[in-house]
Amino acid sequence: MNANRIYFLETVEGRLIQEVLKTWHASQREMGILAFVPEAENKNIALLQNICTRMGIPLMGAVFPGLLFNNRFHLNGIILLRFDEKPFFALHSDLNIQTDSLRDRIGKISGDIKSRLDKPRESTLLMLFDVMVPNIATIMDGLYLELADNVHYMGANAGSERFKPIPCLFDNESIIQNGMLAILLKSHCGGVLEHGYLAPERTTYATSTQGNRIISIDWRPAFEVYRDMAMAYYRIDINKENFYQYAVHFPFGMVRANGEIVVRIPVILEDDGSIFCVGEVPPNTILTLLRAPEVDSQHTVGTIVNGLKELSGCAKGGEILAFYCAGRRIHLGEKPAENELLKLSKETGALKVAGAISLGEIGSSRQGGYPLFHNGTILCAYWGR
Amino acid sequence: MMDRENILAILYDLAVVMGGEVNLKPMLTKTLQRLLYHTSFPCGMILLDIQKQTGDGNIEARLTLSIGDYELASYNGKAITAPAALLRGETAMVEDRSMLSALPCRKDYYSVFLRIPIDNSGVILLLSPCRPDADMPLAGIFQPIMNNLAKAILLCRHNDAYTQTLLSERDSARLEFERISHRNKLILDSVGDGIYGADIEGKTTFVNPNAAKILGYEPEELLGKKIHEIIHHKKADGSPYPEEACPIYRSFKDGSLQRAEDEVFWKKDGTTVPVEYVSAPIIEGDRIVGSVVVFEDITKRKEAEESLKKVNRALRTISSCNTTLIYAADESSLLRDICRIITEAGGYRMAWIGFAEQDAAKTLRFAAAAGEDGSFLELMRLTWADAGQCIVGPVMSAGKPFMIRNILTDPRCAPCRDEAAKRGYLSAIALPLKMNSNVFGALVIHASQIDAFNEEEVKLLEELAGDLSYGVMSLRARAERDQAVQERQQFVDRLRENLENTVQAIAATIEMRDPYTAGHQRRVADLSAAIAREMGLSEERVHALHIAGVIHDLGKIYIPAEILSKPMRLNDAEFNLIKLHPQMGYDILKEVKFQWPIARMVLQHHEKLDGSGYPQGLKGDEIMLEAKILVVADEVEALASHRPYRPALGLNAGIEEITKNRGICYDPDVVDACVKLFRKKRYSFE
Repeated sequence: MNANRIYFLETVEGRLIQEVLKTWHASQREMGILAFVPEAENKNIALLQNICTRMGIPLMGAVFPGLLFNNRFHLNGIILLRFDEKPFFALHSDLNIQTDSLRDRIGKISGDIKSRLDKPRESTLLMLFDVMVPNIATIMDGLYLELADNVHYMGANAGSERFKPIPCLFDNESIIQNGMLAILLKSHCGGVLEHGYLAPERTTYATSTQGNRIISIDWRPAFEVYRDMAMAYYRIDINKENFYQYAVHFPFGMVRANGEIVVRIPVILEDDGSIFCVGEVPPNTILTLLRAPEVDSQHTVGTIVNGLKELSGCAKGGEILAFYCAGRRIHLGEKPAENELLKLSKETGALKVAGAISLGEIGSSRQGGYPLFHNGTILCAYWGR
Repeated sequence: MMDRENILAILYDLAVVMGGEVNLKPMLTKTLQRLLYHTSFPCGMILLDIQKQTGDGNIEARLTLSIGDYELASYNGKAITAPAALLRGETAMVEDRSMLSALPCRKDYYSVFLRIPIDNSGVILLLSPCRPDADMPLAGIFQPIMNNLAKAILLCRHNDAYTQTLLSERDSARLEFERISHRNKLILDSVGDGIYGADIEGKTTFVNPNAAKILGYEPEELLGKKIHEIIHHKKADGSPYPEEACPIYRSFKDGSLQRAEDEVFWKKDGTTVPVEYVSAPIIEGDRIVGSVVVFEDITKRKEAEESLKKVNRALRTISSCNTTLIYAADESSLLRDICRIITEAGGYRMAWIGFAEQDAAKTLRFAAAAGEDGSFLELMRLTWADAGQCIVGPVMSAGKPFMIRNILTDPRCAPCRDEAAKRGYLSAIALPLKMNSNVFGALVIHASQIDAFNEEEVKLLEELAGDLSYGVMSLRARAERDQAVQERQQFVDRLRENLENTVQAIAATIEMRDPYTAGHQRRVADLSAAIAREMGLSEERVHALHIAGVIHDLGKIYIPAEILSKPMRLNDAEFNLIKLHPQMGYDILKEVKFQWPIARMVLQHHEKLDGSGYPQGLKGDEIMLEAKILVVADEVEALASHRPYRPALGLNAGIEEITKNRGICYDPDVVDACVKLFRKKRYSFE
């Protein structure tokens, strides 16, 4: 991989995009582009598609709530990530389907991936999902069952930060929603993620769930229990009116047998008291209520830096692709979140840390770990060095 | 540190996962996925059917399922060999890279395993390249649920076996069903008939290839659509065909079998196809669920029927015309009758015949017509000039039939089109009337259908025209022959009259030389003729006998007048001379070419039955009947008349003489006839 494979344009203008692409294309005739577009620049996707198509450059991309570049978050501009050689990629739409059909779709997706693998365990499957897909964890389980350790897994959720359905995944010709953009990164060692959220000892159980909707907790309407837990743990009075103000700061934690937490941020409160989260919550999951301030940023950054080292040695002088959870950014606050990015840059010595504000992240905190769908994490991977 | 309550919750979670599936593979898959989720181990495997330990410290077991390692996954469902120390033992988290390297996967990669024995059923191994970060008592958490897993495995296996039996039976049934379906499809695909099915709403459920081909659609264009609205919405005449009136609709409304033999289906290209169809309801249980329609494209049959009708019509016409031809007495009635038969027996709209006049204007002389009042023909300028607009022109020049298939569109018919249409003349054919290669006229037939004459029919009508030509020519020849015969008869009659006048003149000449016998020959002739008639002889023979009677004494012309008029009895010499007159008369007459044996009658008119006559002394049948009559008449007249040598003896003397010598000298029949004339019919000499 070569450095300078990531470019951030603060303003989206066709001329500027063309200049960057022209420069790259001059030396990389087989190149492809992965573009991250902030929600505010949604209207410029067609422009990007036109330019890439006209130049004969394969394009893939996603719309995120925002971008991150040089330790700062950006709600405008565009990030272009170059592949020296166009990777295999595919847009899969309408994945919000029932189990039997989904199994067939997963078989098709994994079959396509397998057929394009040169060598096992040397590629990474980068998955960018529409956040509105309600069964991402199930899809991940299915893909892991089929592909096993043939590939490394990492990914993030795209879409609107307000969780309104928007077409958010695109290629040269189309833009889809309720789907996934799958990209096979050859000679790539995967990524590492961590959230560093600390879990309290008190737990309860999701007694009834449906995909990413928690219907009841401990046999009671989910919101009632959520409200009581907030009051009991943190003396916070959450009601229907201030739910959206507090929810991102008090996410659910799914407690696993190994004591690790998978974060689920509540995003929608229904009239019946059920709560929608970013990511599935299996029935009978042990739940706890996480308090945002108790984030161990140092641990988070340390885990990621070590993880990256384990993956591929020193990141100094390289380029790091990062996805930073939108919920984490909100509950940490803009500045603390940017400080985490700054720490990451410093401790990895990377030339660039660039990526997007994401709505969920896919991966594991160490190489080869069971890939899970998380919230509240920072996901990092090498892009170029 | 996870408290007891959380551990119980995890066990409950796992128990629910195990209990949520009834088939082994999904149950084990979800259980193993849940264990990997809870532990973050990247790889897990479930080994069942563990065999007894072998001497080398290894053990064989079936790798029922593995997740997370593609190399191990390739052994899923197969028996593998692994160290007994790996598979046997208590629940434990163990770090032993070398033991794990005995597994059929990456060597020296996995270093830690979490072993969870399944009570007497097998073992679960979770593999990781490094120790978990969390210091949790994983080895103790899951064991309590393993008894449940063992039971779940047993139940799932039973269920799988049972399911497998059901599946086998289902597969057998499905194979049989597919075999039958395949056979039915082959039948549907290969039958010549069109077949389609419709559901209770009339929407097409299947279409066989031939149905699609007949209708001009692709099957997909019909499937799922209301087929009545596509192919059966209008009748042949273009009027609407409401679904409620359609027999096919009735068959799936009341469950009846419906048949139609003279309807049309509408094709994709907007044309129709005549069909015969049967619509049968499809009944499932006691419920009608649709109908199946089997139809046949009867275009060829219709054409054949139509062709047969036309041929029959032509044959019927020919047959009637032939009868007329045989009995035809004259040409004009023949032509009139032929036209009438063509319209009445043949059913054609109009027929007429015209003859070509060899004048400068090439006039076509109208000869006969039927089926119309003549007003149409009056409107037409009848000419056989080829450039004209009459249909006959091309026939006259080519000598072959000429057809106008559609009077409404043929430019040749433009001047008379409206009048023709008004009378229902929509097509026409003109057939040449010819003898050898000489075309002398045409028979023209108008029909009330467009393109009414097919090839077969034209051949037959051509034959009819040929017969009519022959008939016309025959009648014309017969008329000419009759004329000739009549003229000849008149000539013969004139000849006979001349001859008879000549004969009379000769007789008069004789009688002038023999005044005593004046009128004798005429009276003998008249009496002979009367006797002959009385005896029933033909008029021809009577006429001949009369001529012979008029000149029977012609030979006396050689006898000197003195002897003929001698007023006393003749001596023998004189009488011998007199007896020569029959021979002399014969000699004169034998050179004359009469139609009848006049000369012989004259020769024998003095011969008698007993041979006492002269000049030959003939007897009985040697004498011709006419001579036998002449001799009787001659005797009676002679005795009744005055003679130079005696006075008249009277008729009675004559009657007496012949009666006395009846059967001796005179023929009895002749005598009887003569007596009857005088006695009963009051015959008298004038």
